[in-house]
Order: sequence, then structure tokens, then C-alpha cells
Amino acid sequence: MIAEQLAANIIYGLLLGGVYGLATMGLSLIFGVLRVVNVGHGAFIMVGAFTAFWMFTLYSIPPLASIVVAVIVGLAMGFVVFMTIIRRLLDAPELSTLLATFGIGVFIEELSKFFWGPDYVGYSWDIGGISLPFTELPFTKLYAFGSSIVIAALLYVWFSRTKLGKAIRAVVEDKEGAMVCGINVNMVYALSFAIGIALTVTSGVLVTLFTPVGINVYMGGDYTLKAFVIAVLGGLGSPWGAFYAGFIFGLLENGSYTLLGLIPGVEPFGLTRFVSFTALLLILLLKPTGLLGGE
Amino acid sequence: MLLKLENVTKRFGGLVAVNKLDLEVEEGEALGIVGPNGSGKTTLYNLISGVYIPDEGKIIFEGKDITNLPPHKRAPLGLARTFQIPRPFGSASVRENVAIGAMFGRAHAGVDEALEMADEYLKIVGIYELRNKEAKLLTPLEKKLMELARALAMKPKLLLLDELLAGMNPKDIDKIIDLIKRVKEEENIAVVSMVEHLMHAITKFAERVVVMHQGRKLLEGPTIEVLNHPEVIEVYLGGRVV
Amino acid sequence: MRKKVFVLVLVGFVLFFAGCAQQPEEKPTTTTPAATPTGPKEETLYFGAPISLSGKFAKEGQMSLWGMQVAAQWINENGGIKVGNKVYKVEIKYYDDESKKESVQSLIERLATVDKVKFILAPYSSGLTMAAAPIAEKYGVLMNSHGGASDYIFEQGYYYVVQTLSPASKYQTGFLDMVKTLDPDAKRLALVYEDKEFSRAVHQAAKEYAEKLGFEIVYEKTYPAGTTDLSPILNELKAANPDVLIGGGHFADGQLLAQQLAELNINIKAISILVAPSLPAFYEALGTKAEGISAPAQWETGVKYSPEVAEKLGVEWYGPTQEEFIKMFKDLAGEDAEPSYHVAEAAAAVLSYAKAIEKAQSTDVDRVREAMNDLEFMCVYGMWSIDPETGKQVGHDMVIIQWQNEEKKIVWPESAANAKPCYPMPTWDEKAEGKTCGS
Repeated sequence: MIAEQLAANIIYGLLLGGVYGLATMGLSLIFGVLRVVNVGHGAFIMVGAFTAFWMFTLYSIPPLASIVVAVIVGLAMGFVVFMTIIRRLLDAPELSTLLATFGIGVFIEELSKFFWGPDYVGYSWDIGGISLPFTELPFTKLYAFGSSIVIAALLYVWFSRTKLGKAIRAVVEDKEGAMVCGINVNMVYALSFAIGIALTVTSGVLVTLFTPVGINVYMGGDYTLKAFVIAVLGGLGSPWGAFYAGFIFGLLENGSYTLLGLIPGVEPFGLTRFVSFTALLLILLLKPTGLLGGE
Repeated sequence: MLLKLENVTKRFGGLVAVNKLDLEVEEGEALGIVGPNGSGKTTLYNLISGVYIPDEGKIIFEGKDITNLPPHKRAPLGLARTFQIPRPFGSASVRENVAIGAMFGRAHAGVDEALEMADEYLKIVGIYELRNKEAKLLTPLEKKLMELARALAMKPKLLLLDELLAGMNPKDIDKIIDLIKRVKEEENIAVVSMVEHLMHAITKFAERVVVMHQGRKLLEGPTIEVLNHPEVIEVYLGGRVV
Repeated sequence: MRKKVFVLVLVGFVLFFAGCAQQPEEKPTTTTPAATPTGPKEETLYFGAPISLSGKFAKEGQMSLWGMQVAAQWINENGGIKVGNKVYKVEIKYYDDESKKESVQSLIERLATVDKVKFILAPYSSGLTMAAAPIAEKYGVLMNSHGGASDYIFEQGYYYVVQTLSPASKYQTGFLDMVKTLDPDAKRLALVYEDKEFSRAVHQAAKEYAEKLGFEIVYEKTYPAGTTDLSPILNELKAANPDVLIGGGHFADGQLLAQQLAELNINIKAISILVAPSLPAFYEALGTKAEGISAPAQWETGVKYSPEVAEKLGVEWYGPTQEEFIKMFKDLAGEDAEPSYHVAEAAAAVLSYAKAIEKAQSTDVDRVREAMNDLEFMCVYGMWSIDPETGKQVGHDMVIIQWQNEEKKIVWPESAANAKPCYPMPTWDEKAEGKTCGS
């Protein structure tokens, strides 16, 4: 009985972790390349969630297809935000970028509220699932997990094999050296920011695949906090670290449930947050730069 | 005329690092720039490669005014440089490092072509066997050679070498000079080599030499003549030499 | 000489503006259309109210104000409040509390001391009501809670604070009564709820009540706010095999709970979730999955309370019928506006004051408060009667709404119901095939 519950928890933890991982990669990428902390991170996840919602509700477009829409929306938003605001802040003190990205997040939330209202919405894409003896696995969650892995893998290949990908990695290593080699650093910044935002918006679609209800213009806030924890855990600036750390976080949040429940008198779910943060602290004590963090 | 600097001045606050400098480099030339510490050599290089923009004056490359052009736009025109302390892309492989030069320099190569070019230049420079090693693990000499290969992969018309030979032993210095001379001939590159101390090396390499002092051109002319000029010796040693 | 004149003029200006500043910045209180009976002496009786016209409770505040104004209008058009040979017209004197505790406290003080108002309608929300209570108590003015459901407020020993809406402890108890009546054998109860103050209060009280009714608590777990995945809890819940489930907290987790119960194919005979199912958005988000899910509500348009029902139950009816109520509301708020439960709550508070004053035949605060101890009546909002000792509302029932055939129906209590409860709820598979409740 306990074993079954444990197994179910671990599966759910992994599935959730995949979504968490992708939702954090954008944040890590933007910090890694531009050294900008995007405090408005959650607002972009929310945009992705609403993208999936509207595509499904208005045009009956299944969420998996909405991923394409989300990527386009994300790239467009990323470019616009970079060109108008971020570009001017690259040499500004850190506090300015924190305030600016925070302001951008609030702006997006309020603008969304103006158009979409403050209600909690959702959609039903009922496509069945796998029935295991100890639990049910809806296909939507499996698709979310799978998409996350596919996107992360595609991104990895893109970064290591393509010209632009290598240019971005060069800029991360040595901005001036890259410039002298002929790399247009500003364009690299714009592209990286746009890709980071596109990743974040896309993860919003996956979040709704995982949880198709409770979509609301202020939903981003919870995700921002978790994303920061996961980003630090994975090593700030390493998107791959963030991806792995997402899994660990998902496992801690859900996977530890049954184990914690074994401790008498403990209310497990109330504790999972404590557990996640404690684990974070422990890992940072052992490896201060995070799992895959560099210098 | 490949490169022309007209009346170029660069100030940093109250300090004038480069002062009304005129300079000309011909196609295929082997030029030496020499001067003691603080004479403005590094600033000059940064002005030519575009890291700094001059406060006054003009920089013309192949007849085109590049004074205000950012570095990444000068590279495709045919300008490449090495750094006194090498700047490798540490976590990439040696091969990838050189390929970056091929991709974003004048050759504009695609990824596969660039990797092939990288192999070629690594062989020329003599570190082909290190091609898959992570760049940050190389010895300082190997890093310098890699950076040279990367600069060459940019197919430059003008190559700026910044204290390339500093810290090398005499045998390596001779080898590198021969290598540079060979490539220079084959690919018609104008090579400007900047040194502070290695006069013998400059003598072997450069036909012409410019001596800088306090941001100005002190003297210019055929190498041996200039280097033996009393004024030059005084600037370096602060006194007369017997 | 010039200098002296200048100084005099300056002083004159200062005095002039200082004098102007002394006027209280009084918002114009709406004049309720005064009926014009001649005869008995007519006086105005003020009910004071801090209203959240701005800030986070602005929507609810506005609704409450409309409710008060509708009730005052009805009272004035129907004979006013008769005390001895006087007829009192009701007027609502209100100020904007900006949804802030400090403003509420200073406004109560001002209403009591400056405006000399003896009957106060509490601000919206338990938090603000709790902040106002000690001030009202201190000045010995009556305060009637129409938007603060927390039991805690009424356990502090405040004599002058009474309650019109149902307290938190009664939110889920009506549902348990309903299930017990429909199926005495459904004994296995599970609670899965948000770990926040209000939800905890609701479900702790419900748990105690359930045990008294003979339910067996087979599973109880809380979850923190902002949880994205309830699967671990629900997986365990499935193994406990409950008949009945109560829980939830707010919009997002309420929707999540229902969604994941469906996902994990956990079939339960009756489910009551706080807050979320009462919104149309719930059905829009969940589709047929929402069929048969219930929620407690203070009031809904469509409840069957009426003079006829009151007569059948042998209680007095007071105030407008639902049709009149809705019409007067729309006259104030606009043809397209729909009254929320806040409107009815606030109206009932005003009506209860009128009734109590008439019963006491006095506007003295202590006499009115005493009259409330055994006052019982029904109005558009439902029953009204308080516990003499604490002032808590005991007469009013939470109504249970249930989604039936894409519509929100009122299924409990019988005096309010406009449909029969659908029990047991169809299974998730049945719902997926399109089976609805009550069809």
C-alpha cells in the first residue's frame, strides 16, 4: 500500500518536475547570457497559460498545437521588451533591472486583467489516460512531460550545433572576445532574451496541460518564486541545470509526500515546502554554485 | 593603402592615451609597433579593432571610413587581432574556438565548413592534436597558438598581434615568426606586431617599425635604423647607452 | 502700513480656509425617495456604515451599499419604522473606508461620536469587521455584521456586535444535514481543504458537527495555498473510499480539486467545495465534470423564501419579496446588474434593525439589543435570529447550490430550494459520456 502510494508520488513528482524544469529554463538562460534577473517571470507563464486557454476555447486548437503559437508569441514579446526596455538597462545597476522587470511583470498582469478579466478560467481537454493499478495517469500530463523533454532536447541541440547557438555560448564566455571575432553581441542579447521569454511562455501552455483549471491573471506569482528556487538550485545561468533542478524540485514537492506522511503527527503537504527549501539550502552548502553552476 | 589613421586622439578623463596619431599600413606589410609601457600601444589596438571609438580623427580601412563602426562590423571587413593575455572561449573545444573565427569573420562560414577550416588552421599552427580538448585546459603557449589560429580563420586582411611572443622561449619564437611569415605570404595578410621588449624578434619580422611614446608617434622607419636611433634608446632606458 | 495690511489679509485667508476645512468631508448620502405621509411626526433615523468604495473590497462594498439602500427605500415606502407616535425614515450615512483597517476604526469612532449614529452596519469582510468591533463596543453603539462571517468575532464577548450572515462554522454543516437526510447510510466523510484561516474554521466546525451527526471521518488532509498538484493527497483519498467529501478554500484550488478528482477517477456520492463552484466560471472551466458538485452560499437569486413560505413555517415575513428586491436593485444599479449575495446580506441587516427597533418600541441601543434576543423573522435573505449570548446568527441557513444540467440550482434547505438535490452524483465516466444531474 505504502509502496504503491510512493510509486504514484514519484511518478507525479517527475511529471510535475518536467514542467517546472522547462518553466525555469528561460529564467536561467536570460540570467546566464544577459545577467538580467527577470522578476516578472511569472507573468509570462501566465500569458502562455491564457494562450492555451484562448486557443482551445475560441478555436478548438489542442494545447499541443498551441505550443507553436506560444513560441511565436513569446519570441515577439521578448524582442519587443528587449528593444524597448532591457537594451537600455544592460549597463545599469542591478536594482534598475530588478525594478524594470518587476514593473514589466505587473504591467503585463494588469493589461491582461483589463482584457481578460480577473476570473479563474479553465478548459477541458479530456483525452483519457493510462490506468495503472495504483493510480491514473492522464495523457495530458504525459504530454506535458514529453513536450518539456522534447523542447529541452531541441534547445540543447540548437545551442551546440548551430551558428547562432555557438554565438550565444561565445558571448556568455567572453563578450569582448566574441565582439572582436565578429559576433554582434547586441543581437545575441536580443535573441537570447527572446528565446528565454519564448521558453517561459511555452511552459505556460504545458502548465495548463498539467492543470487545466485555475487559470488567472495573477497565477504567475507562485511560479516566479518556485522558478527562482529551482534556478538557484540548478546553478544560476545554466538552463540545463535549471531543467534537472526542476525534476528534483518536483520530486521533493510531490514525491516526498508519502515518506513524510510516515512520520507520525506530520501534515505532509504543509511540510513539502519546508522540505524543498531545506534541500535547497543543503545542496547549496555542499555546492554553493548550484548543481551545474559554473564560476 | 589598407589602413589609415588620421589625427586620431583618445582621451580617458584627463589622460590622453593616443595623441593626434597618424599611421598607415600597406597591404601585405609586416609592421612593428614598439614602445615602452604606457605609450598607448594597447589603446591604439583597441581603436583599430573598434573596442574604443576615437574622440578625434578618422580611421579608414580600404578606403572606407570605419571610425564609428562597432567591432563586430569590422571583423567581416577583414580585421582580426590576438590578445596579450589570450581570451579563449573556455568551455568550448579548441576546434570550436577556431571555428567561431571562421563563422563570424570575413569567411562567414557555415558550421560544418567552419569546423573544416578550423582543422586546417590548427594544422598550420601545429596544435591539431589538441582540437577536441577543452580550451580552458590548455597551456598558455597553446592558448596563444589557438588564438592565432582563430584570428587566421577569420581570413583577415589585417592581423593585429598583441605581444604574441611574450613569454616564449627563443626556439618557439623563431618557429612562430617563420609560421607567421609563411601565412602572411600565402594569404596576403598585413601583419602588425606589437611588442614592448622583444627587439630581436621585431628585427626578424618587421620591415618597418613605428615607435610610440606617450601617445604619440616618436619615430617611424626601417626597423634596424629606427631601433638603433639614440632617441629611441633614450626613451627606453631613460639615458644614453654606451 | 502696507506690511500690516498684507499680514491681516494673510491671516484672513488662513482663517477662511481653516474654517472651510472644519466641514466634514461628507459624501452625499443618497436621499431615499421619501414617502410623504402626513400625520404622525416624521423623523430621520440614520444607520451608519463604513463602506469599501475603493481598495480591494470595492466590488463587495458597492454591492453592500446597494443592498442597504434597497432595504432603506422599502422601509420608507412601507410605513417607515413606527415607534410610539413617531415615524422614522431610514437614511444610510456612509463613508469610504478604502478597505483599510485604520480607516474603518476612525470612521466608526466618527459615526458614533460626531454623527451620533447609534446603529452601525459593519464593513465588509471578517478582517475589517473584527477591527471595527471593539470600537463599536467602546462607544456603546450597535453594530450589525453583514459581511464578516468569522466565528471569532463573536467569541470575544462583544455585547453590541450582532450578526446577520451565517458564521463560518455553519458553511458546510447544511450540506451534511442534507446528505444525512438523503442517505443515512452514507457515513464515510472525507475533508480536503485549504490550510488558511477561513477554510480551517469552516471545516473544523464541520468536522465536529459531522461527528455529532454520526459521520465517520475516514480522511482529513489540508494543503497549502498555491498548491499546483493535489495528486498525492487525492491518491490517498481514493484508497480511503469515502462517500462524501467536503473541502476547498478559494477559486483556484476549488477548481483544481474537482479537476483532479475527475482525473484520478475518484467517485464520490456527494461533494461540497467552498467558493469555487458558485461561480459560472466553474462550469465553464470543467464542463460536465462540474455536474452534481455543490457549494454553500449565503444567498442566491432564485431562493424560494417568500411570504407564503414564511406563513407555512409560522414565522413573520418582513421586507420586499424577491421580485421587488431585484427590481429595486436594478433601479439603483442598472438594468444589467445582477444582485450578489452581498446585496441581500446588507439588506437583511438593515431590515433586522428596523424590526428590532419596532419590537423594542425604542431607539435606545440597549433596549433594541435586548429586543433582538428573541426576534425571529424571514426576509428575502432567509431566516434571521441570533444567539442572545454571543450575537451570532443562528436562524439563517447557508443554501446549497448544485450544478444540474448546466444550471446552478438551489437544493437546500427546503424552504429555499428550487430543485431537488441530485444524489448520488453521477460517476466521472458517466459525466464524460454526457450524463447530467437532474435531467
